[in-house]
Amino acid sequence: MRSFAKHLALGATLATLVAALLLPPVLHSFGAGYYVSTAGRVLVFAIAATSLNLVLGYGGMVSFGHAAFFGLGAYATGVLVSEGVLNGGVHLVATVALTALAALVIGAISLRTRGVYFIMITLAFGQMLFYLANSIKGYGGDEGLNIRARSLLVPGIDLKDANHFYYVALAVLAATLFGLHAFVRSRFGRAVVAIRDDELRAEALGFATYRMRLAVFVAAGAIAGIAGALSVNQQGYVSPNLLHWTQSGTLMVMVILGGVASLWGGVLGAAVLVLLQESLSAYTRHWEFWTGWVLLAVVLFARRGLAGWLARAGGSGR
Amino acid sequence: MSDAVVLLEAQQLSKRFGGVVASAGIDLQVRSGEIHALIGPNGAGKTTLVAQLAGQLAPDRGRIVFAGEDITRLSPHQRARRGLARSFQITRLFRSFDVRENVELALQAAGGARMTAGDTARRADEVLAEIGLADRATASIDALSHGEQRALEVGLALASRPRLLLLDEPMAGMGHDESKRMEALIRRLRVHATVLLIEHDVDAVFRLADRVSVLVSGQIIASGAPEAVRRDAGVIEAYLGEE
Amino acid sequence: MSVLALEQALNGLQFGLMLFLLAAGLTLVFGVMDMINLAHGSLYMVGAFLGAWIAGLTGSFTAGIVGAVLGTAAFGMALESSLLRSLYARDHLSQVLATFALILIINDGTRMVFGNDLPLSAPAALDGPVVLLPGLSYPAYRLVIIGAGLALALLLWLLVTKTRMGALVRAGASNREMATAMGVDIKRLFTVVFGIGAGLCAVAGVLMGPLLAVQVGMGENILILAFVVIVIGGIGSIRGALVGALLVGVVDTFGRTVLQALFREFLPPQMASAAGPAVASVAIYVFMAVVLAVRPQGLFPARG
Repeated sequence: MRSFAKHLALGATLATLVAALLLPPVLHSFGAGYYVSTAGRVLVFAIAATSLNLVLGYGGMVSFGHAAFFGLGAYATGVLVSEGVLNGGVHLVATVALTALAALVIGAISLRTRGVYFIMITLAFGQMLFYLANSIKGYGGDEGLNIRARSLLVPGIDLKDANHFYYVALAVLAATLFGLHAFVRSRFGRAVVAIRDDELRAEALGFATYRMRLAVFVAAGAIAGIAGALSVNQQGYVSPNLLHWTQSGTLMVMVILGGVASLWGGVLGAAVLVLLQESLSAYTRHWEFWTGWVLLAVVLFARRGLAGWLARAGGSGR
Repeated sequence: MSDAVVLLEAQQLSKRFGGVVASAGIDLQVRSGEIHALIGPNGAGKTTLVAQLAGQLAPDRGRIVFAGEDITRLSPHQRARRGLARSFQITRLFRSFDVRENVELALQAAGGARMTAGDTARRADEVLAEIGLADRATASIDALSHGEQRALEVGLALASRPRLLLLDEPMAGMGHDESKRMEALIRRLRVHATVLLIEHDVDAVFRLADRVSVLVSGQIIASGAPEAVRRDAGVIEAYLGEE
Repeated sequence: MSVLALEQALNGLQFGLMLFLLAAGLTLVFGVMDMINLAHGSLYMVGAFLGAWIAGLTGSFTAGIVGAVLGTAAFGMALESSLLRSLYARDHLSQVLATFALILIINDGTRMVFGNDLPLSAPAALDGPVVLLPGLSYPAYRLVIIGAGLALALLLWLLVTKTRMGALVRAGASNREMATAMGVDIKRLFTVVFGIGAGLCAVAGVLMGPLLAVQVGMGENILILAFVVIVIGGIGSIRGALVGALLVGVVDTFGRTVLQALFREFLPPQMASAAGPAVASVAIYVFMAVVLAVRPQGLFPARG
């Protein structure tokens, strides 16, 4: 019975992958090529939300400043591009290095606190980075930074092309999901979930809980940074607002909506929120208003998020 | 008079919270191979003492020596790695995992990187059999009865074959039969480990323990063989007289 | 230079007192109901908008404040008894999601009713400066804010320490189980506490309106400062909220002004103009990090 469920899950994953690969040509054939860039946006947020799910869902750390790493990554790449450094490899290394370092410092301090204090201190640090970004006049300050060029990856790939960008982002998302899947099944991953379940017990048994949580915090920050690097490539623009706590809130909403501690939670949540925004803003200026009501309904009626709701609807138990 | 090795020693442990003195210079010696029980009335400071021994709480003054090493500054996970394991008074289990996985996590935590998957599985089976949960290996934590959860609680602590087992009220909330089973388990543990047992059930304590220490108002007022402690005038007045 | 310092000290005091009004309600909701309410800043915004609208209609600033307090308190209590009450038992994440949704709804809702911003100016009578010391004159309006803030702080202190309701609230803040065990219509107590918090937000919103501009989204920035205040002061403690707010107000104000002036004196101009604003906005968070490193539970934790 277990093997059947596994095969079903594998089949569903493959089907999703195929559908994702076919999406741009399908959209183009319907004359809806514009939506490829929307899909690209969904992918970028899916990566960021999945990284938050790693630290929040599996790690049990309610980090309310996660968008700061997303924005930091965008700035790292954006600044390099604006300075004429276009090598994608350099961008990747610089982005990961900067965001991992920031996450290390912030995490090292924040993880000494617990519960609501942890939430507040991560919130505050995120906001601190927002104000820092706001004040660097040399790179746009509060108006944000525009870039003309893009990261150069492999000859032939032009990130200004929505289709090229889509496939690059899809590859990064697939790698992230695969990594998360491997992590959850690994010994380290199980230890991290055990720490989430009961940190005191885990520590009393011999797990180096502080170090392990910090490692997860840093990894999640770096992945968010990569998502940010993709974002600045897609938009050609990065604003300090990317680091604002409301952006962290949005990411958190995506994770909660999609399903905390579920592999696809970040993807589902990002898809729903971005599509909701797109579809509602076609009808009304006040899409935020209606989005709020939808979110409220989900909190009140779908307690484990959409992934949980889907799991139940599909009949599979937990 | 035996010259048994002292495995765990608390020297003049002192701890105060604001105006309240929880530990007033506690001296305690646990000898290798024995079952040493710690009893005392509510509010005596047992919880604070356990927290200090386990590494959750730093004493204001005093030392803790384990197997000849000063561990006063070590964190709980460092103590666990050195073979000082503890169980909790309020059950703490990993609810996202089933019974067997809980034991495997305990093994992994204590340094299971050195164990192969086969060894881990074998050891987990041993532990499950030891605590009487062999047929509940795939059950979720929520499906366990209170007694079974308490058994697993102890099981996690002994999984890695620690040198010292600090059992914090293992029989808490148990009925008669369950208590008897726990008593039998603790008696069997003597072969593998030294046990420091914190317990309220005074009768069980006097049946099980090689030596008993009595904690009253943050101080050890008596320590020795059960019969001697039972007859100690100070102990009767402070504690047993109420029974 | 010392006149500047005195003036900035007063500004810090003024800002701190207004922060206190927000933080007081927030720390109580957090401490007693254990609820993360991200929409607290929205109450501040609603208060500002109501005040600006009523003042615009009637021409009276006072009518604006009174109307704003009553309206926002009523709005807050309606919100609490309908929606927020069902969140008390939920986990923090659900509370985050729900109150975040509320921010979206209230922000856009305000936009729909009032537009993106409303003008609000201080009463004309308070337009001029007051001479405090020879060489030091200070805007009358800001002095009124300080006075109002101090008066409300005193009132709140009396309420919390001298009344039965205050005793219940303090008990609830330090031990929630005890509060529930005490019976005595806990539900109504929570609603009233929430209403008072909302009213305080409204006062801050209207008073700060002329200084900071009444616009949609004004709540989000000040909310973070309020959270920093209660983290520094200790969750659940009114005294902590006051001390924390004053500290944050002073540190922030000094960071922005005195620190910048110092930088300009001692650093080359390019560095000063780059580093100044950055350090200024970061000062608060560094301060918070330092406080938490020394006292992780805050300065006056209500819970043991």
